[in-house]
Amino acid sequence: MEIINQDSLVAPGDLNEAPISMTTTEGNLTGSWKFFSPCLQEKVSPCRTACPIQNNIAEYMYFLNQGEKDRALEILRESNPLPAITGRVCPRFCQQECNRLQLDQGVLIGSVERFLGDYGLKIPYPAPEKKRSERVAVVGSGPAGLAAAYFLARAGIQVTVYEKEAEPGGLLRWGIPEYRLPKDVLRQELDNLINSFNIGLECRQDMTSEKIEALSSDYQAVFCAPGLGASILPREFAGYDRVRQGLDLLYDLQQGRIPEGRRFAVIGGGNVAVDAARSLLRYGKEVEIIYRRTYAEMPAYPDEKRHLSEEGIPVQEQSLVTDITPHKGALRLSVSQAVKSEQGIVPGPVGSEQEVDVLVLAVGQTEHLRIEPKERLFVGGDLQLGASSVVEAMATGRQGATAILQQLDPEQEAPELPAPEPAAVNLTYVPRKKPLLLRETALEERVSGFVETDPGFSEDEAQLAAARCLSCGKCTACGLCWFFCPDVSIALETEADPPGVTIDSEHCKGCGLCAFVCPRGVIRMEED
Amino acid sequence: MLWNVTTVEYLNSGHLGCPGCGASLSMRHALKALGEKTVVVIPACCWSIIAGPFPTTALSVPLLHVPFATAAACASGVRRALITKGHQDVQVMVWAGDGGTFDIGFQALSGAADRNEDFIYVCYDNEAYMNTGVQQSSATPCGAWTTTTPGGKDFAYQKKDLIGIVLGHHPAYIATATVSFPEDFYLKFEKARKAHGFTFLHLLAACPPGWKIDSQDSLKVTRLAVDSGVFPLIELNESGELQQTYRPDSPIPVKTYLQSQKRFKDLSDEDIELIQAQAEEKNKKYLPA
Ligand SMILES: Cc1cc2nc3c(=O)[nH]c(=O)nc-3n(C[C@H](O)[C@H](O)[C@H](O)COP(=O)(O)OP(=O)(O)OC[C@H]3O[C@@H](n4cnc5c(N)ncnc54)[C@H](O)[C@@H]3O)c2cc1C
Ligand code: SF4
Ligand code: SF4
Repeated sequence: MEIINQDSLVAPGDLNEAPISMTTTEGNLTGSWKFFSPCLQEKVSPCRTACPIQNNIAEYMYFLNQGEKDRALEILRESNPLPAITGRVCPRFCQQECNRLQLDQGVLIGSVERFLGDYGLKIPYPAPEKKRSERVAVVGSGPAGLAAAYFLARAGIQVTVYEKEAEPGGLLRWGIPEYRLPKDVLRQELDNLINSFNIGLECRQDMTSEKIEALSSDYQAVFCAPGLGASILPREFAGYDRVRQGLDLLYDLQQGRIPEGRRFAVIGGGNVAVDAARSLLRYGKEVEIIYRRTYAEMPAYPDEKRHLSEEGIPVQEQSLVTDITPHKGALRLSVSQAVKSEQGIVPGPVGSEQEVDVLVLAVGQTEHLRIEPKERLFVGGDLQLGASSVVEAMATGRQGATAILQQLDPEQEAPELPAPEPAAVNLTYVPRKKPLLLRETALEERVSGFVETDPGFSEDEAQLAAARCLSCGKCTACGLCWFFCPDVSIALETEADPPGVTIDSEHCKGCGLCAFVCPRGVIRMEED
Repeated sequence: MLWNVTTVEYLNSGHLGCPGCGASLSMRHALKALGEKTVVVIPACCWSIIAGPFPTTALSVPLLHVPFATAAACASGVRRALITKGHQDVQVMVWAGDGGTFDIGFQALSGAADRNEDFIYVCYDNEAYMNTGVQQSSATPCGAWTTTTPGGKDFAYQKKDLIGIVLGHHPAYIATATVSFPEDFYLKFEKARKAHGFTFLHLLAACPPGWKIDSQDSLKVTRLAVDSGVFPLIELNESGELQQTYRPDSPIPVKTYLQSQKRFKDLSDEDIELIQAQAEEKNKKYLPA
């Protein structure tokens, strides 16, 4: 046993008679008292569980906080090939589940993702570890097709993408307007992805079911994600040339074809309706939305709805257009109050008339191509899910790629994500921080052109935002467990990679205070 | 490092505190706050056991075990001996339980405070004679179960107001603290270290077996004590007034605190109301709004 600190003892001298303890208690192996042992086990953060592509948010935020931007980007790209895009347009499933919402303000994950994505626009994706001889074809270059291409190419597969249009991107290019996703960002991110992996891109290839069938004999597998592509046209609106489909209109607008007319009404309450209305406003049109349910029930994303209101676009809620008549080069609409009945939403007795130059329909999309999945033919994206979202479509791309790899190589085990065990956090010892403000482009500037509504974060802001992340489920060697251990039985390893703690089980009495205080839910007490 | 706390340890593992012992954790941080040049004086209390049997010691600073009633008198002697030997830079800290402070060591405490002896008197209050098997002391709160108050301590005897009594001795510094509020805890030890004259720190230290709580709850429970106003965090400020050093964001009823421990499990609703009223009255007395 070690003799401790003799220098600090009063010299015995005339205290010869007094017993003086000189050895440490460390020889008592108090670890034998315990019934429970602290076990360190990293968990999956709730934000990651909520993210359809399971971005490892806790981990990349941690490295961003350490000033390791490149490593953060690398971790983000493991699950997300298009972060500059998703950082802008994803409705942020993750943020709704952020543990920090219980404390002060949730982490603005999307804005950090966008910052990292923009940072990566000029950084090539890492090359695959090995090249493989197999070839896989992808039909459609929307987010689903591109994600599949990425996960296949990363595994060394040679990928060729067949796209109907002249340029890749799908709804990212033809649907989502410039003020939410600048074309320049889209182009840079897609170019970087395609060039880094040498993905073959065949544009202007309108693939029919027969051609797709043919592909599956030329390639080892085919992943098909042509989107929905067609819009629903209710019978009563068919046959008028002043009635336009929202998606077609957006497609035209994005190519600079601006329709004639001054007064526009848009029927619908989803993203297509809102994007069409906001785009038309930016071309100086008078526009309003007619929706059959209440404003609150509009399925468009909350931020989009807020922007719609801020920009002064009126919404006639609970209204149905029951009849249209062409009238002196315009359209006369009969609009009735919508009432809920057993047959669904039906026109009520109260009605009015109004005149518009163009009526835009945005009442839903439907498939334009029917493809049955079979042995070497996989289907994903909106065609599989129905109208979904960018990351949900990407998730199907990843699943498709995994299934294809599995089929090519049945021996190989599918990469498994950790089981989504939520991290039970304790916010008691997490200091509160001032909420961050999201800046937005000034209203006048916004509505007079296509400048981005959300200007994004500067590097400093992104760092502040990342610093709010607790990295739930991941030990950051914060030291709380060390601090509160009454038995001096925890050692901190701040310099280790990854950082962590070690527990001295010879002395730990199993009190569980470390498990209680850990803000990230990393320690669990297990019965001995 | 977290809260700028030193990584040097003066408490050794292998000490004999129970799992989750608040008194052990408090000692660990008290010594980190005061540093290596500290002499600790301990009367009979849990810590007489925790420190380890001869020839071992749980501290890597000098520690004197002294008779039950004499902690403050012995500390006075240690201080004078240090002065005589020319050691001006050494801290002397009494580390006594509530029995050795509120009851048995009370006279020596009063004498030392009266003489304004220059040392820090820390009472780690776990609200009963814990190491001898949970017998009530005058620090035991009303209604609490102990082995000598099996039906709960009689409401005729309120917990002794020691802060009030020591305040009457005009100490150089006085404060309450609990280690579950670490920043506050360290600040107060820092002030006690810098003060000249008699300083008194009243620590609330959870005792999992004596309070009948899970060891893993010993921080949570003392936080509830603070947030419910049962144990307000206060100190004597420069202008000689008591002030609150931590104001709970959202005060909670004492009921929540009481229900977190099985020693209070037999309290009736009226008892709880009474304790609520007592806490409010005490807070009003010392902390006018
Ligand atoms: C206006 C609008 C706004 C939206 N806003 C958002 C948003 O902000 N956030 C969000 O997460 N989601 C948004 N969405 C939804 C999102 O865009 C879609 O869920 C997603 O793009 C679907 O991806 P996908 O790859 O399945 O299909 P698509 O993006 O539709 O891509 C399909 C691709 O396949 C091509 N293709 C089709 N047929 C063929 C064929 N026969 N041969 C070859 N190629 C073909 C198409 O040209 C297209 O490039 C929005 C949708 C719309 C319409
Ligand atoms: S604090 Fe960070 S890791 Fe935890 S849920 Fe929020 S974003 Fe995810
Ligand atoms: S308290 Fe901090 S250092 Fe300890 S396990 Fe949790 S995250 Fe790691």
